[in-house]
Amino acid sequence: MTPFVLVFAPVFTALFGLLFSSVVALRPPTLPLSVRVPQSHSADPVVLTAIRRFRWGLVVAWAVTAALTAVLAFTDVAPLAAVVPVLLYTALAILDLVLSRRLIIRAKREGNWFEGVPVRVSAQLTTPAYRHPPIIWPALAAIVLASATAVDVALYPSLPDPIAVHFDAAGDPDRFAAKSVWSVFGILMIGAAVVVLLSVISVFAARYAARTQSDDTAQQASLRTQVQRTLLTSMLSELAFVIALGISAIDLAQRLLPGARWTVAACAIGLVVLVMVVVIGNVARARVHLRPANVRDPEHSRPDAVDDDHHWKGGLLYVNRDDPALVVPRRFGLGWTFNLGRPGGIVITIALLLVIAGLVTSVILLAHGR
Amino acid sequence: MLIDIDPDSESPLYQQLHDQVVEAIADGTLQPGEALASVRQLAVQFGINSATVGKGYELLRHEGLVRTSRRSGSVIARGPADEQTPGFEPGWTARLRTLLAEAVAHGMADGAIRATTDSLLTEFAARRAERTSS
Repeated sequence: MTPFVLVFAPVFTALFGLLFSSVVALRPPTLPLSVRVPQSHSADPVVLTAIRRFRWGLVVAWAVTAALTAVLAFTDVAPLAAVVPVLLYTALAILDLVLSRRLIIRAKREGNWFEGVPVRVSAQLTTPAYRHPPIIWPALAAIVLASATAVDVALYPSLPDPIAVHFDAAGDPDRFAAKSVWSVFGILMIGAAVVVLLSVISVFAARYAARTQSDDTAQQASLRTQVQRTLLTSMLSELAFVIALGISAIDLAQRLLPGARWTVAACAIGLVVLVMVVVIGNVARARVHLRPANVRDPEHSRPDAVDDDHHWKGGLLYVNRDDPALVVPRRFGLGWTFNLGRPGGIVITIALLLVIAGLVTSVILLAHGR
Repeated sequence: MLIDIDPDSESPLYQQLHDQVVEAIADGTLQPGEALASVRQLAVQFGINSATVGKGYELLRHEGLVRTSRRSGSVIARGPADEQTPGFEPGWTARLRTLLAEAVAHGMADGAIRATTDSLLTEFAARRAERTSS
């Protein structure tokens, strides 16, 4: 049992829960918990109860996973205490969302909320101008990674051979590899790949084509597009920097303080916390900027959006054969999701799942010395 | 500028798109030279078939209200202040004739028809003036 194992899952799931709960306010008031409701019912008591229940559900899920962490940490499978609770928490949070939104769906159906309500499908004919994502964070990330590489190059002749490449939960090296470019610089290469990948995605995020909420005015629709673009581009480029910083710190901790036990774990926890701080900070900022877009002015009434709930499975997965879009903005949370009603969407989703499964498997295989 | 399409309307989607662009040009919401989303972008935003949006754009192009070039995409080609489109009047008069006949057939008085026409024209002009002053 180590402090790292005990602390990791509760801290991570608490931040994750905070994020999950705060994205509720990022969505328009007519999409509570990813359920489409007309403006006349956006503050319906059932809606408010469902959101409250969802938030309490997250607290309960956290308590359950924290208890599980404590139990696992005292068994002989202690390293699992860092991973299993996080997976369990994710599953419980999704279950919480699915169950809470059912309340609204049932009330909507039984009360015929959409009966006689004028609905429209809306789009922005003139779209806000495309702006390049900020270059400062990827540039800083490159500088940090280059500096770490320079230190490694300088230290290379004096590094031991074989070199420690993995540490157990207690902070002691438990696996060694022959000194080579891969075993010394591999971690920085992974860091560089992640920075490049995040920067490329942020360029796409800057072109983010939002779906227009029919109940938004033209100004609100443009504001929503702008805020969502800025949120994604700035978050991704800041993440690129934070990850470069964390990976460089882990690398330098191994090279400069090989005897110290907690440095690597401390850097890893620091990295996870920083990632969550960047994500939550960006979401909090977006919430403030989005506030005017979520106010409904009775003087300038707008039509409601078409009830498209049947295309959103569990409020999270989008399946619509008749929609030409391959990528659509998520209805709950950040970013996009693929349209699983199109062959391309299915292929990309399967490919992504295979890549993730492959990465997880290779990490596990590496951690256990093949 | 927002386009609102009524999926339950009898009027086809491409016609609704066309009509809203024409009205926006008349009331100054869309200015000559203003860039429009591409057919593909608009179809993806709406979540409807590209061919439907393409048909609406094609109609606008045919009428000379929108022009499309490879370099700048689709832009508004003209505005109320430009010289009248040549050859436009006969076709429009024929359609107006049907519309007026419809009003007369339904018992609308000539005076009421004129008043409605006047108030719509005044509304377009007022919105245009509002745009230029702000």
